[in-house]
Amino acid sequence: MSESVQQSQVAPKVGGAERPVIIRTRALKKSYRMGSVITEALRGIDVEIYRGEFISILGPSGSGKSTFFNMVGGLDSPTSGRVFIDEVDVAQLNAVELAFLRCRKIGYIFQTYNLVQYMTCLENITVPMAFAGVAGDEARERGMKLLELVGLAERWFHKPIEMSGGQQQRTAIARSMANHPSVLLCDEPTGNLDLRTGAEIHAILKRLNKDRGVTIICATHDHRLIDLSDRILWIRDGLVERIANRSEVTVQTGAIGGMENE
Amino acid sequence: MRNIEVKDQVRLSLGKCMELVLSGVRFRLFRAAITVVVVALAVAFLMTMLSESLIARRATGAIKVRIAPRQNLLFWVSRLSVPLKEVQLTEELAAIQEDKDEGKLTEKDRNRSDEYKAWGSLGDQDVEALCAIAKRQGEYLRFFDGLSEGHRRVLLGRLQGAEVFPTILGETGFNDFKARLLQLGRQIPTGIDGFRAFLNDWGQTRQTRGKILEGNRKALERIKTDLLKDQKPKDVLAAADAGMPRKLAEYGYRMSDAEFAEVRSHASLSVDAERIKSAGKIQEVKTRLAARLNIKNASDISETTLLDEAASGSGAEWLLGVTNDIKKPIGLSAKRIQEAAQYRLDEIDLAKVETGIQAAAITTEKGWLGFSSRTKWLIVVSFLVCIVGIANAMLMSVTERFREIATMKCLGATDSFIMINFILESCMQGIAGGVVGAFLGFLLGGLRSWARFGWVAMQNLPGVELLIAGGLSIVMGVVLSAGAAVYPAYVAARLAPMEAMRIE
Repeated sequence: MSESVQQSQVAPKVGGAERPVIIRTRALKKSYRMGSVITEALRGIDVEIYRGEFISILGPSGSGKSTFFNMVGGLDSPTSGRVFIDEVDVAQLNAVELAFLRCRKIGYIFQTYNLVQYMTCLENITVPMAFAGVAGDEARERGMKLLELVGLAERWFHKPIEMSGGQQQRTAIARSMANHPSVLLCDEPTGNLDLRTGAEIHAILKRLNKDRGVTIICATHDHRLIDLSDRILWIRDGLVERIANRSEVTVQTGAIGGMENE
Repeated sequence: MRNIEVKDQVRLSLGKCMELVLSGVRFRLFRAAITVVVVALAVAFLMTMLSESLIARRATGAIKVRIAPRQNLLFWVSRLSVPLKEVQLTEELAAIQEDKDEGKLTEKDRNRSDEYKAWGSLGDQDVEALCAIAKRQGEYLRFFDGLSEGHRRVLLGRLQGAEVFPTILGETGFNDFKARLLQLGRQIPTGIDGFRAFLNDWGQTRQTRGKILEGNRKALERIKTDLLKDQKPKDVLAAADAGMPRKLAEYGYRMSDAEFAEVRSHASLSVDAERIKSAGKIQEVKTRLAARLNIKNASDISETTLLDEAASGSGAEWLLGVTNDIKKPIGLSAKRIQEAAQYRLDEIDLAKVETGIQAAAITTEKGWLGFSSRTKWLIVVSFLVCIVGIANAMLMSVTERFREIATMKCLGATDSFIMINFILESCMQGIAGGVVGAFLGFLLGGLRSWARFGWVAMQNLPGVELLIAGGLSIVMGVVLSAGAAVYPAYVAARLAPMEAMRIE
């Protein structure tokens, strides 16, 4: 199975790409059918996301931003066109292989944290490791290291209900890093957090990007997160409106007079 | 251009799955408890039926053994009082044939055959032929009984069962019968020709049967004059010596020595019990018994009160003393009083239980493990209700856990893992419910059996069979919950993980 995946799905080389591409879409289209009405969420998107970059995706509601996000994260399959994650055509994978992809290659961070309520912080982090077949002791060891990474080592036995939003999100980040993924998909990571806590999250994400070379793809409205990204992608009406480097864009992060970072 | 090798996702061990499921269950304990209760109820229902049935089977067997000698006594007393009737003779003949067909010819069967031979001056083959005809007759009689009231009226008129045979021996009578049968649109067993053949045989052997009945009647008359001499048969049997069987044989009756010993001892106990009863009717005895037991009203003394007292050592002594005192000696030793009183008490108990046996006999004949079709239907319905309830609860659970399931899928859970998760959870609830239900069902079944049969039921618990029934019920409980969980688990497994990604 892996042979045929390697040979048949090799995507055409983009001319003179010095930077390795981790996610590539080709004429990506997605439409939903609701009764007799067909809605075209994506109407042909060609995008290359480079390995190790920090990219933000912006767009008004109904623009297809969330649909694009799902495509890129291997959570949905296109109606037409291709999505290549690490040069593997996602549409060609069966359910089990998709599960593998989600387990090892991609990490997810949600706006609502989505932690398992009845498990402790550490147990939450070790769940993906269990799915990857890591033994109990090793899993716990790695889990504790990840918790130190996000600064929650002393709270390893707390349940989500005993933690603040920021702490839960940090746990979620540690969980997403459990199996050393290449890509981190963040859906409004700081949407439910106050500005100070949000800043902590931003710092952690930037650190992960810089130190570990994890590609981070964020869908966000938070200007400070956009500030930290390498590239920004605008989506409108199912098409890419604009894609620009950070340097080409001015971002203004506001501050309420007299209170820095608050 | 790097290519990733997409290997198959790791399959989690059962133990790991169990671990994850268990931590989840603790969290959802209330919902789980409801499912457990539902399963327990259905399983308890099944187990009650099963244990009742099993215990009833055992108990009826045990009771039959205890009743048999008393019934035998009644049999002999009646034989020595009234002559044999045609209906009774046919039944006895058919019974012999049935035993012969099963290859289990008993001593009693041989005794009866010898009696018929003696009374009717017949040979072995005559009696054998009579037995065969009697069995066939039984078939037709059962057919007549199985007809509805209206149909029977049409076919037989006002006659009962075998009374119709003489009327249809002739050509015209038989054709009438055939016409009536056709009119009803019913088929007689063995077909109309088979019935014809039977009637021929029956007609031919009529005389032979008549000879037996006549011989029996004459023999009884002689016994009444020679042996009984105005005494009651029971008294005679009680007081008879070991030579009785040989004496009876002179009149054609056949009783083995062992049978006689048993009959005599039972007759003797019965007669002595009657003496206690008569003693109990004496006013003075009643008064003194009331005083002894601190009962205010002497007329509240029943037969059982006196028997209960007399069955104890001290009570027996007391009764002996009292009857001697009032110059109406009972004529028995204290020990004998005790024995006879206990015998009569047992008899009363068994009589009560006999109605339970009648009812049990009806149910233990039919169907698998003695379930009437109505009970089977009830059990199926209860299981269906259970399945629907559990499926409903599980579906609600799945809906509540949408986000959790989607997140799990994002973390790498395969569809089959999600499905196994739900089914395992359901199985555990099934086991818990099954164990509780089986235990409850056993208690309930035992209680009902005790109500029906008294302590006999408890003394004869079929331990191994009950354990197997319990195991079966628990397995049913697990199958129930796992089965009910299949559809909800399937729904959960098919959930798209993008439900968890809500970007708006």
